[in-house]
Amino acid sequence: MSTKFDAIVIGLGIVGCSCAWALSRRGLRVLAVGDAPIGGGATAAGMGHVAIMDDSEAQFRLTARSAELWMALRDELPPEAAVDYCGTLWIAADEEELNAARSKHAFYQSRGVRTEVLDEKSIADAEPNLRSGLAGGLRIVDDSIVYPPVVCEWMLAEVTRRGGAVRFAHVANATRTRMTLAGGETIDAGVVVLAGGDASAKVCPWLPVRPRKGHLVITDRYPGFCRHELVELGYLKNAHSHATESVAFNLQPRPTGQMLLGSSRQYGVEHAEVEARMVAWVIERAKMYMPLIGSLRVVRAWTGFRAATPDSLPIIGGRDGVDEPVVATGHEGLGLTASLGTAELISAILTGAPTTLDAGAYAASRDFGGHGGH
Amino acid sequence: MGTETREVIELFIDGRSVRVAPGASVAAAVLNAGKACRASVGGERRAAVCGMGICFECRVEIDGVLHERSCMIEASEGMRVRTVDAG
Amino acid sequence: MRAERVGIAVVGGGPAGIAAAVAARACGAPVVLLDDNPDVGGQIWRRVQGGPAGVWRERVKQSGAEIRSGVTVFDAERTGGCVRLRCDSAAGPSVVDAERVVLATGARELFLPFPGWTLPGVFGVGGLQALAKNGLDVRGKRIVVGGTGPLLLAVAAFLNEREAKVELIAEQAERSGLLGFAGAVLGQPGKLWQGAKLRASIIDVEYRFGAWITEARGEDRVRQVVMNDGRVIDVDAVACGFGLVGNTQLAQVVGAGIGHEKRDSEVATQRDRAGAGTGHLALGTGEGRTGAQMVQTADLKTGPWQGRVVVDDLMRTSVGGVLCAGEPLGIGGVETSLVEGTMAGYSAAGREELARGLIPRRRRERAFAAAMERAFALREEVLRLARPETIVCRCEDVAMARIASCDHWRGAKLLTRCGMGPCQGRVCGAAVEAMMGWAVRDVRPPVFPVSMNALSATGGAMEGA
Repeated sequence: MSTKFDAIVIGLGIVGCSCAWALSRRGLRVLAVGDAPIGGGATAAGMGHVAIMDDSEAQFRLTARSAELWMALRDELPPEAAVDYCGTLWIAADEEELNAARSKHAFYQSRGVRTEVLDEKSIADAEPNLRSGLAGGLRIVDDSIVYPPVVCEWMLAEVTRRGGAVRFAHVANATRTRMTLAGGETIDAGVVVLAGGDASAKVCPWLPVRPRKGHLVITDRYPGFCRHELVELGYLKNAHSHATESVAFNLQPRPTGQMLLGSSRQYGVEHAEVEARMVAWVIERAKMYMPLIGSLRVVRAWTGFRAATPDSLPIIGGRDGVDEPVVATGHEGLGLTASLGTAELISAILTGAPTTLDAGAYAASRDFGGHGGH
Repeated sequence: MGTETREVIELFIDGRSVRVAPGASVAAAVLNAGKACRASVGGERRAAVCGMGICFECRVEIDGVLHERSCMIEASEGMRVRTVDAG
Repeated sequence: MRAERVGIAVVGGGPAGIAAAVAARACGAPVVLLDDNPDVGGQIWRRVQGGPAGVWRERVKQSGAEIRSGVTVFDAERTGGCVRLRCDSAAGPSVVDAERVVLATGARELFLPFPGWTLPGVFGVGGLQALAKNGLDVRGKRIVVGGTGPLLLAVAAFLNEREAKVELIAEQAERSGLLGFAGAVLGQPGKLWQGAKLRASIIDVEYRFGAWITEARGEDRVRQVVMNDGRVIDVDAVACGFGLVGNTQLAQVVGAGIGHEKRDSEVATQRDRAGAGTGHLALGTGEGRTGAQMVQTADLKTGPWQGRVVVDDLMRTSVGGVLCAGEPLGIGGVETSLVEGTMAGYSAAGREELARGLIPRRRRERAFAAAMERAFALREEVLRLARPETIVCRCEDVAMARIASCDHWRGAKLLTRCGMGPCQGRVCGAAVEAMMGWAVRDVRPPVFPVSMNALSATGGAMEGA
């Protein structure tokens, strides 16, 4: 290939597309490379929930900054991106979970995030289809949802418009400045960024990212059945324990009126097949919170693989003195949320662009506790 | 279904009484009443196409249940059907 | 929830399913027949009492097979030494674990989009017939029947009998192509007689070759159609179908091997077919072709563009314990379905020698089907009727231009929502496959929309079953 690119970004999911887009906004000529279609991996499989999370300070900073960037981008995105600021409602089943909601509220409030604690009555008013007797919940006002594949398409169109290119190809391996495609062709660039989700470890085998399978189902249209993205507070236990299998109630009202229901987490499953057992489990969990959901009709079910790391934080940046790509992966279920912040950080690392984020917390060189390259 | 069969099933489509022969599908009853079935995503009126439960164009609300395929369901006495043409 | 273990489960109560159940019962095997319609007979024999329909319906009812009507099978999975079928019905969800399964899931109509095809009153050809059989009043209605295939004549005759006013039968194929078909029919006097009888009964109706609807017009419902020669006809309804597509969803979900034609070769073949009648005549008169060769060709070419389930001579798919018969193997019609169903029934019951005995008959039927396929091959013009603004995906209202801007089915799904609605691409997927030449193969359970309750009840482990 005669054209010299300033950067190659491997991976056409939301993280890769965001990185390519952010770098091209900084004036770089970017080649985005990956398996077709655009936004077709975990990005297409995921819910498209932009959520400010508080599991750790590092996670909060990345997701909160990303949410700001999503907010700033909302008017530029095409209508098909279906941005909707429906907010997240974390559901507290009992007093213990309500206390957790209260401390989360304090955490968010002190950091300028708009939240609201709901009691038994107000959560019932907010979501009439939740079962009665729930203790309450926490509303994150400015959380939103978006349809990621359309955003990916839009970002790569921008990249192309700024002199970059998109190439559908399978990548065999890569160094800091050279990428080799499965057919043997090599392409050089100023820098190579690896954003291949759970497949990143195929290029950089030391990466401690493991695929964590998830199942989702979507219903026919039932407008108004629920209004917020609903998540059980017990979700946190499930999402961040590293149990082999778990499910948690997570329901999203799509702008179409469809109900998108998750979620399951499985380690050690290689095949992408929809497993009836897992689907049943996800639904049973949902019925504990919304008994009426059982009568809704499912039109499709699917699976996807999140890129999970041992400490539940993404890996963003390069290792000094190692001839390997700069990486941006390991976002697990937060790839969509954290994509814009990740791209800002990559842009800062590679071009010196300003960022309020501290790269150290997500560094590739951090200690993964016995996993990874240390 | 000979012509001598009396129309004995009475159902209500958008509140209006409609009488059909036993064994008639809800889709047939809806069409015979001059109605369409559902509003498409873009707001078009749509009615049954395939007659065998695969196209999902004949969806109506039956006795409070949304998205029922009217071509696959027999009309029954007292059934309440709501279509796109409900007032 | 009902959960049980059975010997042989037959999915689908059309000719193939009925024949399979009858044959397996004749060998003494226990059979459960699951059918999503209120009565067995499938689409082709819906509410038909006499003739072969009556004979076969009676046979299966007397066979000792347990017939369960109104049951939708939405998932099939090979597990624990059996094939697990997950089902739903008005009586609730159920699970059937079968040692062997015969998939006889039949076919649906191929609908090709044209301007106005989404107007109320535009039906499928078989669709209008099915609706009329189930109580739709067509008396005095002015109807144009258009598309392709022998179903046009059959349905026009039916509508005529129901006192509809069939204004025109528009067959897109050219007469020359059908001469070849007539040649093929000569080897099958029974079929020729059937065709002649149909024609006679609707002798007053205009039947035109090389004719097709280019547009349907109306505001609230269809009022007029425009033909390819510019003629405008006032109508109350339109029946339009472009042949059949086998229902392979359940076979795909269980993991059965699917054959698929590449678009390039198919286009070439299509052009050959459209180009001259001589090829058809040569084929039709059977010159230089043996039955076996024709079966081979049929296996490659049946069901234009659409994937078809691959089976061996004993009707076994690539998945152990899963057999398949009839239209999912490529559109073959009633006779083919009966033969293949019988073979599948014998084979499932372990009487392979009986199944083998029917191989020559199957070859003949498939050869006939292949000739039919050629005679009614779709012309390029009917694949190009949709305008940029014409809706292609009716569930999600996705227009042709948006789909045409994509490169493949999955990309189109992700970016336009095409095929994301409750029909799961049964209508638009088949149309897009025909129009764009994209492989549409992304079937996952549930293969029909079902309630969350049905999924959770049938998805669990089978303790205590």
